[in-house]
Amino acid sequence: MILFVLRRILMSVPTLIIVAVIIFCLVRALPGDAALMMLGGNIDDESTLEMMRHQLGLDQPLPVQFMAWLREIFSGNLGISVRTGQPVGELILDRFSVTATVVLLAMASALAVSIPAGLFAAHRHNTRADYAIVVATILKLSMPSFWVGLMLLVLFGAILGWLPTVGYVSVSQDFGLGVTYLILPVTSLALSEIAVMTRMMRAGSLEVMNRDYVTHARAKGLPERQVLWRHVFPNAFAPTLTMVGIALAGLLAGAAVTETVFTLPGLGKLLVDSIYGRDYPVLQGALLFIAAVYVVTNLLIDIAYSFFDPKVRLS
Amino acid sequence: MTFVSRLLGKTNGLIGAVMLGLVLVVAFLGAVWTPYDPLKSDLLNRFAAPGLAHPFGTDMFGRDVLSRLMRGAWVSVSIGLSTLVIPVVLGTVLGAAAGYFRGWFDRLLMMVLDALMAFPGLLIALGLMAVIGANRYGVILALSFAYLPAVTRVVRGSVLSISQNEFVEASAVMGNSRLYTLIVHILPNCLAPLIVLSTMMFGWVLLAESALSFLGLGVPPPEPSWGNILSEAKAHLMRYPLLGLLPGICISIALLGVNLLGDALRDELDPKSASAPSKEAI
Amino acid sequence: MNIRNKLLAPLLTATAIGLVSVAPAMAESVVRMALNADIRGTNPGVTRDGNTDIVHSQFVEGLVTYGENFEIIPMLAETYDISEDGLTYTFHLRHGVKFHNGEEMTAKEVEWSWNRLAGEESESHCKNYFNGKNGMKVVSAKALDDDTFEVKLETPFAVFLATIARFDCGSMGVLHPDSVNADGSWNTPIGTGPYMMGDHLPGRYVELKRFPDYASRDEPMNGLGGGKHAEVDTLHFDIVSEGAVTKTALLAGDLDLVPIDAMTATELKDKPGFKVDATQSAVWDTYLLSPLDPVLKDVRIRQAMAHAIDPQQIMAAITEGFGKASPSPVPPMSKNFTAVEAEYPAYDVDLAKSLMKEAGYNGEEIKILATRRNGAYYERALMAQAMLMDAGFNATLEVVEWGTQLEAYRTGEGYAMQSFTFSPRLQAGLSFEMFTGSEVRKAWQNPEAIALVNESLQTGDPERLQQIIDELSRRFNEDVPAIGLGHRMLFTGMSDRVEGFQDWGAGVLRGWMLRVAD
Repeated sequence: MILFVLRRILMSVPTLIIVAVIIFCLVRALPGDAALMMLGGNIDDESTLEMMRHQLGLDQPLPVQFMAWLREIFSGNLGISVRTGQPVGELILDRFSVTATVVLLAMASALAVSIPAGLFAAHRHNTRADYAIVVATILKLSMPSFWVGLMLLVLFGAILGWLPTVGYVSVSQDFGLGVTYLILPVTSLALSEIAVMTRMMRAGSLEVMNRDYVTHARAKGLPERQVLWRHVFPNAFAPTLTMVGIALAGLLAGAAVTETVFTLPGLGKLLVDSIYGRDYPVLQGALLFIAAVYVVTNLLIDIAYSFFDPKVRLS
Repeated sequence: MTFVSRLLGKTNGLIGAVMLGLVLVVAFLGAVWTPYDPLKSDLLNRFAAPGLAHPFGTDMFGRDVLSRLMRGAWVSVSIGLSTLVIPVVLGTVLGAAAGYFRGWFDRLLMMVLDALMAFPGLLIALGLMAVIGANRYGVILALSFAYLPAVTRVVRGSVLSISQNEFVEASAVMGNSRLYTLIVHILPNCLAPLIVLSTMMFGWVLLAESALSFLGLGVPPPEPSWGNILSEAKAHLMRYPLLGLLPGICISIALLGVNLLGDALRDELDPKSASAPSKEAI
Repeated sequence: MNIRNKLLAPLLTATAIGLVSVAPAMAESVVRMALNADIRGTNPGVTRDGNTDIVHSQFVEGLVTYGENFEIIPMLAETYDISEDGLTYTFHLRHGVKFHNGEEMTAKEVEWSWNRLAGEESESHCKNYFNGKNGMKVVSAKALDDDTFEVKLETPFAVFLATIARFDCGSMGVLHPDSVNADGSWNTPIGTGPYMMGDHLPGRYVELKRFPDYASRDEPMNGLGGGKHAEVDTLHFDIVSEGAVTKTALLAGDLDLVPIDAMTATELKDKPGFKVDATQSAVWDTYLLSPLDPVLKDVRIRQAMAHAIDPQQIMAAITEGFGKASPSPVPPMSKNFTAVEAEYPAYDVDLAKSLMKEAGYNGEEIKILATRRNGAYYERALMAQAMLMDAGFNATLEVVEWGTQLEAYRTGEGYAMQSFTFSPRLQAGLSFEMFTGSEVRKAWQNPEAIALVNESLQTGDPERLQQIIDELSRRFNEDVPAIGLGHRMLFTGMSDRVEGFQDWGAGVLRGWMLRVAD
């Protein structure tokens, strides 16, 4: 087991190095640079531009800059933001905590809704209730998420005035207030996940429901509720769990659109801002972090799987 | 023929096919004819209400909304279809090779794909658009690379599972070459999951394009796409809700069609596959 | 009161404000505003960009600054003298000006602050304005006694005062040396402004606190100078990048005062509970024409383009009728703006067509570059494209991301025409200098024009300056290195509870004007 984990960790190192190279090339292929962006249309003289480039280390040849970045990575420090001078590692962790709060809450509430909803729909297969659930999920999946987000914002923020529209207060700072800032983004993200996972859960349950052991359990005279929770749920949940893992990795990487709509200072927003501002250290650091989150989440999923399926360890 | 009639015999399959068909007809019409030039602005006729001259009114530059939606349908649909080409072709070749030859090639390929999957489609989009230039090909190429790993993995998985079937061994016993076995016996069996996945991917692309447009990284204006029409309307939501509602409805109709048809296809072709529905890649 | 008490005083006040904010009965007054990007830092003239300068302007002041009509007025200097030869500037400092740490300002701190920005070791781009790299060279800058600061130039430069008043250098802001740590690294700004730096949560918000011991000038408020009597306790800036969200937040009452676009202005104008301010600024919206483009090399083509584009109609559309065209680079509020500057090539499609024919134009592509950035770059380009096409030009529009356009601007390549914007230049010579010169990014590379611009920056004679500006204006209209559009209308939307807000041509917020009603 430990060997398997160690091997997987070792295997992820080359992946991350490939990622780092791709990141660096992509980021440096963007036209313009941070010095230019900060001066904007006010490049009053070339010497100012040169001076800023020199201060930011942008006048070095690219391979030298890449090696400097690699050194920063291996020293555990990801450099400092050229825009604000903040240490990148600190910045990313700060933003990640916001994203993680929203994403984990959204995922938890999505599971709380979609597991019963999926089971229920499967249980009432081909009834009106089932159709209603299926249609509702398809409808949600057919709408662009920023559209839904903006609508929620306009409705609950501006028209009804129940919830704040901008800003962010973390729950650790002021719990009551913090919660009000979380409701809209969490709802917006959760809605998409609910739609996906309810369908997964329903499909999984339908498949399991015709298995022998379920028929057997029913035949034994177990109440339907117990059949569903004891026998159908555990087996139908496995594929949903995989989906949760994949979705979680994707969302933790930054729900850029949701964060932009709800002005959350999260990782996705950081990424978009650093692209536009050509903040290379932040952009590179955030991308590498995202890749690492992805690799780690995948690793965790694989480990979880290896508990169920010993064959995985051999492959 | 029986397959098609069975598919359309199902209510959701039929509704999905009709909706998607409608979208495709509008898109192809939009490619060759629109009531007005969708790019032509008319400053004296901005925000015109729907009427006889302009059935859906005009937008903030006085451009005919109907014409823009029609041409936008073409742009969005053609992006959706073009984006399928690279992942499906390249993904099938790579996935089949990996699944069939295994060994170091498989491992290396999976490593590179892992690396590729670890990227947000967003950055790939911007990076490629910077290199290629600001046009729809940047979006197509970026999304192609974003979806390549998914196709490769699905094909590889199918090849792996089909290879264990007896008829594959039989083919080898009969003296057929490995390549012949792969092409004639294995690949046709991968078609079902590939069709289901492609249908879903088409939907993903439509959503991803609108999300990219929202972040300012989609099809650059003035060329209309459903995503950027919707995105341009966001500033006028409160006052001219129709401007935002219409492209939103168009995207939803297309997506509904894709999802319904995709469900029906899956039930018919590939009932065992996990039902991963469409979602934006961003 | 000894020094220690002086140091403690603001600290205690700060604590007191903190306590007050806890007690809801005596709520402090707050105005909540929005910035579309986070500030780069708190170091005026160093960690800066256009957005950041606005925040800096609330807590830092310089010897002189800009008045309402861009005249130079004293700020921390009570008065100043200029020697006969135009080489020596002597600043007599005001008495009783206090830094945010309670200490009184003397010429010693002024000298320290000058060297911080303009000294050889400076990290600030501002030093390049004074070290001869761009013509002007300061040979000495020192405190003569506690109240007098003197700067000597190598050759006379009339724009010297205008240069030290620049916003991007925080008006060569005077700071207390304790603003930096012992090792010379930046700590926190200890300025003399009516506000002091408060909390800054990166990516979330910036807060400025009222400086209770601010010593105001006696004159009425004037531009960024004059009397400053701050009333609001806290200026709070949320970082909100999405315009649609800013607007929603204003409507929802979560923000009090935000920059808005023309569309939103028409929408808010008649909405109960809200107010709109529309002010013409010195921000120049223009179309730059590439000096490298082979088709545009022919002056008749450039003239034809100018006659094909109607600035009046475009300005009316992008400002929803609030603004009108002012194609001259010289802003209308400048004292150098006369009848000559008011002229521009008339909108005349027939004339454009005959010029095109004369020049032998035959459908060559005219590529317009634009970006989807705030400031209607894209909208302007789109309308110009439509007008050029009406006149028979084969105009194409390419929309790129801002970084890409800036790179094209800097290298002068990849466009025939681009919609562009220049931030306020508050001296008429600088209004031409920003696009005139031999650098590749400059649209006007005509040697005679360059010579005129250089003279305009040096001459101390107001009459000669006006002559030069008039001459430049005439040549600008004939040579058409750029097609001017107008000076941007700035729209501000605010809730009814905010009072006293007034925008001005430079568009720099003056937080000390604001009041809140209950």
